[in-house]
Amino acid sequence: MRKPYTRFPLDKPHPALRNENAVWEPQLHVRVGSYKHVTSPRFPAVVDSGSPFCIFRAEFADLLGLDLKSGAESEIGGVVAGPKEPIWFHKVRLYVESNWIIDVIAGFARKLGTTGILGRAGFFDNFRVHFDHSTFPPVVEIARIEKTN
Amino acid sequence: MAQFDLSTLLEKAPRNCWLALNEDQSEVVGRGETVRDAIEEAKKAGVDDPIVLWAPKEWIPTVFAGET
Repeated sequence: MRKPYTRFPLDKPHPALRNENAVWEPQLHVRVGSYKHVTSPRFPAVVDSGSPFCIFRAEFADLLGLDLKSGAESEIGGVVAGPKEPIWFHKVRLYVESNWIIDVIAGFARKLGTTGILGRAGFFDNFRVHFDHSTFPPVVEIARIEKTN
Repeated sequence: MAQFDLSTLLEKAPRNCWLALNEDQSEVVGRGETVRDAIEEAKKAGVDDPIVLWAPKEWIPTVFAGET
């Protein structure tokens, strides 16, 4: 599946982005679901090889009826040094676009700067991912990795 | 056809809250302090399966999270 990047606004034109007041990001529409057959609405999640795992805003855990703090607790921080934030991990079902359903262990954090992140564990180990910036807009292409157990 | 350039739409949309967009992402059909509030507004606007997203206070270039 190939999907064009999505263009988001920037409040200030950025010098590293040709002074544009917007940025293109590789995003996919996903849903998260519990094993009690409750699913979230669709939301955009950025495809981010820099993230070690998938992270979603904690409101989705609330929506699924998960007891957020009953999950394994860890901490996350960004590339800019600053306070760490708690994150709790739960097994959830991830619906990727309209095409795939996979089971992942995802983190849920209250203070996430975006709606969702598709990271290495859970997403990149289930999909071959290709970022193509030779086109405009750029596209992200994903293909399911077939696993034989 | 789905809209991939959300810059104009989101630039003018409410901030620091949840937004609900219609199917082709051309219109904000709901907002709220919670996801549920945004979905409810969308449903009242006739959109039963909206796309929801968190609109930050500021739209700035973001380098996403890492584990500490």
